[in-house]
Amino acid sequence: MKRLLRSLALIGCLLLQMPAHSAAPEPAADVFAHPATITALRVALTPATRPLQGAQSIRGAYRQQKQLHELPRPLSSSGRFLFLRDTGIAWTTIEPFASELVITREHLIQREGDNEVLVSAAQQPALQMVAEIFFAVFSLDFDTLESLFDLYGGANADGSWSLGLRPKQAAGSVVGIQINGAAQVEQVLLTESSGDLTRIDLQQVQISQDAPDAADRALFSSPPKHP
Amino acid sequence: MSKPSAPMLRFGLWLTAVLALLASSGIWLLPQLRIETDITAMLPQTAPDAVVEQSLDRFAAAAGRRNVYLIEADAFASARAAAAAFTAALRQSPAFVEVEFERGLDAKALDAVLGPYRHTLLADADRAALASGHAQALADTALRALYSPAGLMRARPFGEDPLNLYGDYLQSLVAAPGALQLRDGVLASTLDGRVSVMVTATLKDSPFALGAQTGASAAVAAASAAARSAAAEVRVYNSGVLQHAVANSERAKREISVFGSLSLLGVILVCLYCFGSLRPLALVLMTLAVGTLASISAVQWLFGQIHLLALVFGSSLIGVAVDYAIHFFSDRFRGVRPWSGQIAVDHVGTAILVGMLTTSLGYLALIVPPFPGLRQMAVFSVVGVLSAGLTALLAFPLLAGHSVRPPPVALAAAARWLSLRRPPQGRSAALAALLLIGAAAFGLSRLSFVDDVRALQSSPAPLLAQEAAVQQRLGGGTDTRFFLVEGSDTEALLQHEEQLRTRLDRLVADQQLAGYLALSRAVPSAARQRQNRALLATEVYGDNGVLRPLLAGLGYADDSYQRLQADFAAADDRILSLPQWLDSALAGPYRGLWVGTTDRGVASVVALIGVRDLDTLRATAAGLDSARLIDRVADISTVLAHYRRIALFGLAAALLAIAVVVALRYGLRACPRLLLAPVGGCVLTLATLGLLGIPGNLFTVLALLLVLGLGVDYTVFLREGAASRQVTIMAISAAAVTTVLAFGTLSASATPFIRSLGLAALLGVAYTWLIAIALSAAPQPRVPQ
Repeated sequence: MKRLLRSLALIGCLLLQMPAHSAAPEPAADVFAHPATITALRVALTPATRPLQGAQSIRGAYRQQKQLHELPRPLSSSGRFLFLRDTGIAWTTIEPFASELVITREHLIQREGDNEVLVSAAQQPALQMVAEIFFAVFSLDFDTLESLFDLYGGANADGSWSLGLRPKQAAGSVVGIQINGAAQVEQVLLTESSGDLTRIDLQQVQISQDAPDAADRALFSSPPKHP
Repeated sequence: MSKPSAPMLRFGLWLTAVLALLASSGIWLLPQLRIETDITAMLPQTAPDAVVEQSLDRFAAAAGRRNVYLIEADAFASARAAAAAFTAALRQSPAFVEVEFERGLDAKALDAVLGPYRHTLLADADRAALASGHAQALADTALRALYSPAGLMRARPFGEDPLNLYGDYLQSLVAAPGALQLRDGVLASTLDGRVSVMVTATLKDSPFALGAQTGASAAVAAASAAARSAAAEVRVYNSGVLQHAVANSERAKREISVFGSLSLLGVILVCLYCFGSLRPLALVLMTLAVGTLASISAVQWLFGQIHLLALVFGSSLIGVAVDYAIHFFSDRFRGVRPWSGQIAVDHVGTAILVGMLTTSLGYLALIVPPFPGLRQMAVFSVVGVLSAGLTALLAFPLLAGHSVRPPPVALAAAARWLSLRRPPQGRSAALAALLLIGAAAFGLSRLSFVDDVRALQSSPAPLLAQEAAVQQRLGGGTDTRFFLVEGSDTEALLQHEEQLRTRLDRLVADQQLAGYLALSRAVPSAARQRQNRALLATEVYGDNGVLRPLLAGLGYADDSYQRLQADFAAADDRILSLPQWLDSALAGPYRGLWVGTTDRGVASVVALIGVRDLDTLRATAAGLDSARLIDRVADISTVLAHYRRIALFGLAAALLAIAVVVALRYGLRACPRLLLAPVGGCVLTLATLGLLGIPGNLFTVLALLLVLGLGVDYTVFLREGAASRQVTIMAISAAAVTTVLAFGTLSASATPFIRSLGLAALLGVAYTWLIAIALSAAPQPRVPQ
């Protein structure tokens, strides 16, 4: 019940804050109209970055909606995520497929049922890059973000904020990232060159200062498989 | 005026030759003197054929001109700023033609060149999946990726490349094994919380060109300073042949001046002490000047250049060439009055002539191995010895004056003592000889030979540490070994590469190899591109392929599928060609792999990264006619071992040749006694090295050839000067001191093979002198004097 209430509150907040992004996801061009300096963003995002100081883990649920070019209805998925400082991110999709994507600086693990595929960073340097972007977005590491992206956005009138990222170096199909939040990161919008738009809403986010337990850690290691 | 005397004629001949030498060297030689510093230019050309040589030239030369700099700082932003400052400063220098910092090699640029061919290019893994009927698995993965963040790591949006096959191909192309990553347009690597940004710079000239070295070193120093002032806590790591070449040539220059000065100082002191006046010293120095000039001229004329290490070796010539002048002036000690140069020549002329010839024979042995460096050393030394000897014989009689001085008291006393010494006789002599033979045999039994070329070259430790630091940050470097692949044309070549790659992929999977770079990874053979198309046509785009159900399941209208199918069909005749790829700005690191047109067709290099086990690698290429593993280090080591064995036979041959000269002059019966000193010197040298645990090598054996040539001089002088033994002992002792000094300095060289040569020659000359004195000190007891 408590969870439901919080979800409702969150949705309510979202509706209030961003009337433009109501039902279906669509590109929010306005944030990119405001180039920002790293100093200004640090000030604007203080409410979100303060709880992250010393945070050992961030966990929560997510809902993803992907609007593809030429496809009439969006593709929806949901699940949960776990970010462990200095370790990596585990992204667990529950609907419509059970699958898990684990990104660390050393490797990428894709789990589907009993099947596990491990790609080491040495084989795929781009992976390290992806890991770094994810870590930087979750922990709002402005130095890293600034080295990879041109920065846009700032604080909104109601205390919430929007952060826009444009890759300095075209590395793939993603051309823009928008992060919205208040006390923490709440929504990530990714725009691709074709106009495909991915919107990820983060829910029930819990920030913990405690060291992660063994079960959490286990997600990030790949048992060596000997078929 | 009467007919000029014979001495006048000889002096005239010598003067003419010296004037001609001065004129020719002043006008022609010195302006075009070229000093070579490439240590590998000393080594034999081991390439078994022209194509291999071409690939070595192309691949190794390109690698030699390329320098990697890592600019490290606490954070990426400061490392990048420092690297930018470094790059800007380095670009000011004309010594570098290309300084790369921001990489054009991004996905967009790749896409621009390769995009049109995306329907024929497949990553190895995807091709294997399609070929084994696992297309559905690719479609499933693509579908799942749409619902997770994995779907965001794609080169093109879903609608253009639903299975992300083209994305996978691009990924396999930029995926260089190692720790580098593209970040904000530059290549960066992180280690222990510090970030390094890579800058690569290509030299305009060979890193061994002395002029280029000076310019490039100054530019790198200035750029490093610029990097350090651009941000805090910046460190610059260098990697490349340049810094080693600079260190080696600076070291060689330092050694030439130090060794030369020491030898010269020794000569001056010996001359002043023994002869007590300036005239002999002046003549000795003149001899050295003539010898050095003649040597440099001869080498430059014959080889078109002179190697720095030949000059280092040549600095020992000072101690050898001076011997003849010493023998000449020692004749004054006999106390003949009135003394003249002509009297000296009559007395020691034959000894000088025989000594000159035997020493030259010793040096000539250096010409036999096909080492350009050794041949230069041989020519340098032979010419130096001959011109010094001839100067003593032809010019001294007229220039030596008539003054006679007694030898210094201490020298005379020592020589008298030595000349009166009787070696132990009878039982004690037998015992001493037995002990000596026993010790020699023990030493020889412990002697080992090490022919590894890596042990014969060295770089200063700080440079090696830098190199290791760079390798650690890059996550491994390109191996010096590589595969050379050949084909009658480009298509055949690429197909041969693909055969080799199938085997290399297995090694990579077994972690025997960290990775490799091959042209065919970027540009598959036309046959394989057609194969790829055929696979895509049936498994993906065809009516029964996996694409249609995938799109339909997601809710796409059939139009979308038909558009993709039409795109695929429209690209039917497009085949990416190798020249097209190589001409594009993207080929970058791949361009060095292309050897080009050869006598047999075309050739390319497959570069290896992180080789675990050499034997496994060798076995990998077994049975492939068109691919060969090239291992130049091992090849050179094999050649060194081969010539070391040949040189040992050469030592025997030189001994025989010298024995013939000695026998012709002194008779067969005198031979054993005359040859015992140089032979004994060689044996004791090897035994000493064995006892000290210092391994021998080709250069040790070559030094012994010199010892043979020099050592025979001593016995020849003692034999020729039997009538005035004391004077001869003084002469050969003074000569031995200068020679030991010369080789003693060489044995302090930082270049291992010069050190080997110097040490063996030092020991050999010292032993030979001892034995010669000991033997001559015992006049045949039954022959009354």
